[in-house]
Formats: sequence, C-alpha cells, structure tokens
Amino acid sequence: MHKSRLVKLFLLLFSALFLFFVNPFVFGQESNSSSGTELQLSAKEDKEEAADVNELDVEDDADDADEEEESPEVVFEQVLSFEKYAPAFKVKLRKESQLESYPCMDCHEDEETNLEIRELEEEHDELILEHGGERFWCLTCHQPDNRDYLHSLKNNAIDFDQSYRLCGQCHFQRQKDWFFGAHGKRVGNWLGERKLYLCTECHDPHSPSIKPIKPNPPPKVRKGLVFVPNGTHLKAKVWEKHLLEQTENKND
Amino acid sequence: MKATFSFWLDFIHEAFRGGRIFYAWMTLLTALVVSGIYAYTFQYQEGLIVSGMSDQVSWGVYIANFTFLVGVAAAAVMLVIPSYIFRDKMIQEVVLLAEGLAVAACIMCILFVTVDLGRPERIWHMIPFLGEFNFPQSLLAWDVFVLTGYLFLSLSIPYYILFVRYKGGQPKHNVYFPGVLISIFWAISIHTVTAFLLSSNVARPFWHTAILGPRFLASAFSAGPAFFLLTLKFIRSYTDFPVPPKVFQRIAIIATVALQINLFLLFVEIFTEFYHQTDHTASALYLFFGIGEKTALVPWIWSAIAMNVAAVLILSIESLRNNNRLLSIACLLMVVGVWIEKGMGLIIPGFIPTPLGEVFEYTPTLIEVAVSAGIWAIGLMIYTLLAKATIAIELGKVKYRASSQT
Amino acid sequence: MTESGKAENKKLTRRRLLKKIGIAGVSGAVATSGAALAAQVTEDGVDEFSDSLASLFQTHYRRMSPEEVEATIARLQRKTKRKYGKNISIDTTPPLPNVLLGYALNISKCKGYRKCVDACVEENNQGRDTQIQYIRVLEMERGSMNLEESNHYYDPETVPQKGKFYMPVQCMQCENPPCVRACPVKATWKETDGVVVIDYDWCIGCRYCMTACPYWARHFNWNEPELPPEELNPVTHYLGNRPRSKGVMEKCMFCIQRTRKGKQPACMEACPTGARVFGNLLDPESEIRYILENKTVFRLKEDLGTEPKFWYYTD
Repeated sequence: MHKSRLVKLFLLLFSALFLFFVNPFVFGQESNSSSGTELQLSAKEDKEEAADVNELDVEDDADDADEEEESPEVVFEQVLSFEKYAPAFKVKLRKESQLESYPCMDCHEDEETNLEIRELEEEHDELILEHGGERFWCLTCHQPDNRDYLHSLKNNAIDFDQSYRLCGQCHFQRQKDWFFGAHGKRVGNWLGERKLYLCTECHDPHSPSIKPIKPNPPPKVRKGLVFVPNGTHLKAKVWEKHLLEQTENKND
Repeated sequence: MKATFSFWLDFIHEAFRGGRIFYAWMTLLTALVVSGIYAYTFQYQEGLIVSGMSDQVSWGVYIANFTFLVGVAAAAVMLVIPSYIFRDKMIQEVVLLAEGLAVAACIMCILFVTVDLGRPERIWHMIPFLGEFNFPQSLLAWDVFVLTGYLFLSLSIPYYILFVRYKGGQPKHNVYFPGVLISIFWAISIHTVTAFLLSSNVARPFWHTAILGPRFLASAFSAGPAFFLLTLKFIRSYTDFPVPPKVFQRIAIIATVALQINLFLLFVEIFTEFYHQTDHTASALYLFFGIGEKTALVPWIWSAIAMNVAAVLILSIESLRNNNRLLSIACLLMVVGVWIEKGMGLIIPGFIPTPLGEVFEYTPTLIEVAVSAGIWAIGLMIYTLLAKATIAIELGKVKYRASSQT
Repeated sequence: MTESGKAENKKLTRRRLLKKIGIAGVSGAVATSGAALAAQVTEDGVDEFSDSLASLFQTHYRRMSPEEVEATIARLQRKTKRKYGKNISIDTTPPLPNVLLGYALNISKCKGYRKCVDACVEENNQGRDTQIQYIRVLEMERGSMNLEESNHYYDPETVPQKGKFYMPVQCMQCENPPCVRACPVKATWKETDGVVVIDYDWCIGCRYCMTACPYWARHFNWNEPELPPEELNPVTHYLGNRPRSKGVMEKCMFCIQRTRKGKQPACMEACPTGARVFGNLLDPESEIRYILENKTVFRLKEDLGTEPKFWYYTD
C-alpha cells in the first residue's frame, strides 16, 4: 500500500513540475512576444498606407514649410509617408536665394501653356535634360498651370523648397535615408537643430548625377624621404586567371 | 667603508690601465663614441627626421640593435646556470666575465631605447609616482622594469663576489645564490618580455605569433654565447687571464644546440607562413622574396640564413668545432647572422606592409649608423673596463690591504 | 713607485683633467644657452627660460589641478605667441555628458575627392612639411576588401574611377584601443565621450602606440612642425588641435575643439557628398544609430577585437 501511494504522489508531483516548466513552450510565450512586434510593425505599415491615401493637397500658401531663418517654426501637419517618423529637421531654402529665374510666373503668367511634349527651342534651351531618359520632359515635374510650383504624380502642387516630396516619389528609399540621416548633407552642427540640404542643393534636377572632379593631391611622404611608387600589385581577378588558363590551354 | 672605497679605487685603476693594444682599442672606441655623440646632436636638434624612419616604418636600427642586445644580455644565463647550478668548474672561471657582458649589453639596450625616443628629456615620465608608469598594461613598461632589474642583478651579484674576493675571502653561498636563482628567471624573462613587446601587437601579423618568444630565446642563446666566446678569445690572447680551452668547447656546445633549435624554429615559421599564403603572409613575403620591386631586405635575410646554416654545420661536426679557427669563424658568422635575422630581419618587416597595406621601405641614414656605432662602442668600452678589472681581481693582482692604506 | 707606475699616474691625472675640462665645457654650454633663452622675454614679463623649465617639469594633464591647468594654458599661449606671433585660445572643454561619439561613412557615396583630408589639415594645425594627414583615402579595387591592393597615391584626372571605390581611414576611436594599452607613460587615454586623446606634453615619443595601432591612425612629429603663422587655426583645445612640437604623437581626435561644442568635425563639414555622418551613439534617435540599425555596416579589421567607433556603410 505504501509503495503505491508513494508512486502516485511522485507521479503527481512530477506531472505538476512538468506542466509548470513546459507551460511556456506549450502556450508559446516567446512566440507571443515576437508576434507582438509583428503586430506592431503591421500597424505602422497600415498607418503609412493610410497616410498615403489621406494625402492632402498642399495649399498655395506653403509658408507652413520649415524654414531656416526668418519665420517662426510652424508644426507641419500634412505629411507624407515616413516624414511623420523622421527626426525633426529644417532645410536650407533655395527658391528665393538660389533659383535665378524664380518667381517663374513673372514670365509664365503671360505665356500660353503648351502641353505638347517637345524639345524647347526659344527659352530654357541651354538646359539638357538628363533625368529619366526618354520618359521625362519638363512638365513631368513642373506644374503646368503655375510654374512657381512643381507637382506630384497626383497633380498636387509641390513647393520648390519641398522638392524632396517630388524626388521621393521615385526615390523613396533615398528619401527615407535622407529623412533619417543616412543620405544627404547635414550642415551646421551635429548636435541640436538639424539642418539639411535639399536634394537639389547637390543634385541638379535636370542632370542629377554627381559629375567626376579632379581629386585633391595625393599624400606626400615624410620630408627627407623619397617616394617610390608601389607599382600595381593588384591580384588578377579569379575570372581573369581562369580565362588566361583557358587561352593558354587553347594555344597548346 | 674603507674597503669599499679602496675597492672602487683599485677597480677603476685596474680598468683604465693597460698596454699599447689596450690604448689603441680604447682610442678607437672613443673615436666612435665621439662621432656618435656628434651625430646625436643633430638628431636631438632636428628631431628624428634625420633618421630613415617614417610613419610607415617607425622603428629602425635603434630598436633592431636593442632587440639583438637584449638577447645578448639574457644569454649570460646560459653560463650562469652551468656555473652556479651545475657547479661546472670550467664555466665558473669565466662566468663573471659573462655577467660583465650582460651589464654592458643592458646599458647598450637602455641607450638604444633612449636615442630612439622623440623626447628623451621626458624619460622621467616613466618613473612611478613622479611620472605615470603604465604597469602592468604596457609591455614597454614591463620591458623597462625587467631591464632595470636585470641591470641591477647583473651588477650587484658579481660586485658582491668580486668585493669578497678582493678582500681575500670566499663569497657566501647563502648570499649570492638566491640572487643567482632570481637572475636566471629574470634573464629569461627579459627576453620573453621583449618578445611579448612585439608579439602582443595584433596590428602586426608578422609578429603576432606564439613562436616569437621561443625564437627570441633560441637566437639569444646562440648569438650571446657565441659573442662571449669571441671576446674570450681576445681575453686569452691579450691578457694574463688563463682561459682553459675546454671552456670554449663547453660554450660552443651551448651555442650549437641553441642555433640548431633556432634554425628549426625558423623553418617552422617559414612553413606556417608559406604553406597557404594569407594576407598576413605579406610581411614574410616582403622579407624573403620582396613585393614587386621592393626587395631591399631579400639579400640580407638570405645571407643571414646562409651564415647561420654554415655556422651550425661547422659547430655540429665535432672535428670542425674543435678547430680553433673554424670555431671563431662559426661564432662570427652566427653573431652576424642572428643580428641580421633578429634585428633588421624581424623589426623592419613587421612594419611592411603597413596596416593599410602600403609597402614603404626603410634605409638607415648615416646619422643612425653613427649613433648606433657610438652606442656599440660605449658598450664595448664598458665591457672592456669591467673585464679588465674583473680579471685583475680574479687573478689576485689587486687585494685589499687593510694596513697599508694611506 | 716604478717608472711605469709614475707614468701611469701621470696619464691618470691627465685623463682626470680632461674629464674636468669636458664637464666644465658642457656646463658652460648649458649656462650660455640658458642665458640666451632667458633673453627672450615676452610681454607679460615671463622669460622663455623659466617657461621651458616649467614645461620640462609639467605634470600629466589628468593630474593637474585647475590652477595648474590655467598656468599651463597661459604658458602654452605664450609659447605660441613667441613662435608664431599669434594669440590663440586653448580650450579645456570636458566631454559632453551622456555622449558617446561615433562616426559612419557611406562608401557608396565617397568619391575620393580628399576634401576631408585637406580640411582636417587646415583645421588641426598639422605640420605642413612633415605631411601628417590624419585621414588617408584608399582607392580600393572593386571585388575585394584587400587593403594591400589599395592605392594610397591615386591621382587620376577625375574621381571616382571606374571599377574602384574609396574608403577613407582615420582613427577609429576604438572602445578597446591597443594604443592606450601600449603607452608606457599613459600619455594617451580614452575619454568618457569615447574619443582617444593624447597629452602632447606628456608623450615621450617612443612610438610604441604607432606600432600597436592596426589602422595606421597615429602619426609622429619627426621634426618641428612647419606651420605658416597665417595658416594657424587659433581656436584650439588642449587635447585637440593646439600646435604640437617635435617628437610627439598626434592623431585624429574627432575635432574635439569643435565637436564638444556641437559643431561638426572638419572632415564632415568638408565632405560635399554627405558621406560622413557623426553623432551620439547613446541617442537612439540619432542619425548614426539609424544607420547602424538599418544599413549594411561593417568595421575595418573587426576580427582584431578593437571595437572601433567608425563604421562604414553602403546605400
């Protein structure tokens, strides 16, 4: 009798312990936490999609833009995509100071809007468009009805000082990097107020690729010593070696 | 007190007197020292820009000589052990001279490091409490510590023995033997620490191997006794000190075995580097075969290997080893071979290529050579003076006469 | 005494006399040079000799009391005034609290202009002839990361060259720095903001740290730096870009004279492509943290266990 009771007690204890320890695995605590994050992520993506759908028109009076100097900072309500999550920043304004022809409407008010896709001959003919290949022409980006603005794919007006909204339509990965600091130039301080250059400060929108320039001079050797060039000790690439062997074998 | 005073007086007196050859030798050395000091004034004034070193190869002949000489200093232990532990009567005759050589080598090491400093007047920064001594983290601090200690040991133990003998007594075993034991371990440690100084640098794959310590010891114990043997030949020829011929044979055997081990370790190193070449093999490649057109060290290392192989062949064959002339030649070959292999052949390739892959060569300038020659001359001078005085006391030529002092 | 004994005694005294003359000569030389130095008195009436004596016995920066620091700064300003004829400021700003400085460099964006190299030299008062440059840009062949195939001395007509990418290397400000361990006199140490600094007046110039550095980041003043006074940047920090002298080490210290005040390091400011990103690793919202958490990053020679705080990333 004693023995069997003991055995029963032992089995009970053992199964209790077993359940206690196995429990988390059975009920998936760890997977709970991971699915928790997954839920969080998808919530974020939902918000982003919602933001895209709810994109509002930018008004003409786009002086709710972040400015570098004069106007007091205004909280920017209408945002696109990732901008809502990016660390706050200000951009260096360009249209007043750097765009020579701005305001464009000074001329274009009196001009007819010609929507025909063509090469420009009378004005702006010095501009060579090297952006987008055969797919772009002027009015792809410039607002036909109001030349003081650019426009998005949905024909919302985009201010020149917020040109990143235009570029970011195609170059969204770059734009995200730019928002978070992995791309582009920050000026001024590394600490405190974040001031960035707009895309067009470095990239000419009509010919955006960075042109090669002459580098600064190479380092010198210590005074009193003579520089002896290293010569090329580049190892042959694997395929070069292979091709060389092949041609040698052919020649044999 | 009186005995001490008279000991020093007699010591200095004996050290500085001698025949024509002695004066000719000392004059030559003095000339080298003077030229070395003159060259150094340029270096002190202008900075180390007068040397051939650069940011790429930042250590040159000074540290190369330092590395070799730490080995010579440590090698005295190869005579201390048979003399004091195994009571080898032959070696006991000459062990004090070996310790004199250790003192000279130690001083040369300290001088080489000092002339290599960019700011020698700031050397007091290494003194604990006055300055900041980064012990035990810095291997260089360790090196300073062990070298200073070894200098102290190599000076104090022979001083005690000579002083007692000068007074006509027998040195007490209990007094000097603990010091001897400590100095044996200390000698091995000075060279191991110097090896660690180099091998601890993860930035220098040529040095960052475990075998560097054993290689250092093996090369030290071959070149050190060989160098000592050469000096003993001079002592036998030019002084009254009777060096029994068997002593040469004993020392030669020590050097032979050490050289055999040294060459084996070199072979092991070459195999490990070259069996499957990695990017880290570049330094060895530069040393043995050159990289591109930069082949400055290639003739040096191969002649060093040839010299060492010739030396080990002569020394390993007993009939050749017993031939006095061949023995001297072998020892000379060994000393020069190890100097090249351990000095220029170890320090310089450690810096080539630089950690960023640049192959930049180094050539010592005349000033560096002059300063190095000057320091060698100082060391040889110290050794000569110490040996002369030691021999005089050992031969009983000077004795303390308590009564007849003025 | 025998004849030879007398002769030898004479030789001994002659030698002793020569020794005495030598000692007298040397001390005379020291005295005259001291007098010459003493003659150069500055406006505030402190002569060069007492200044050089004081600098000889200057203690370690980290052991100085605030008064000693002030006195040292004043002395260094006098020294600069004598040498360059310019007044400079020597700052002693401590590290910013809760800041661990880190640097990221976009090697997709670096085009090898070397503008960072020259901006650094302009900012940090290096010797122009000893050619110390804290930054070295490596032109790497695409297809491998083998540093031995890099070209340091590239000078083509234009950069970037086809088939190459560019990787600037400077002090990595390691968290586990081999140079700090190597220094026998603790002249170099890691500050609380993560920057590895050097006390130029404590360094003895043994160059062991240069041997220990895996990134070739430390540089030595082989001679007295030649710096034209008009190119001297007068805004300096004691541990940063104050003018150095011969025989001491120096290296990139993340422009602490600028960065401890929130300004960008000179290299970052100069880079036209925006390839350089600098910031506080302890701030989770910082740009550098974003890069480290979202971009493909690597560090040079990571296998050596030095924990560099300089990352490379790609687009």
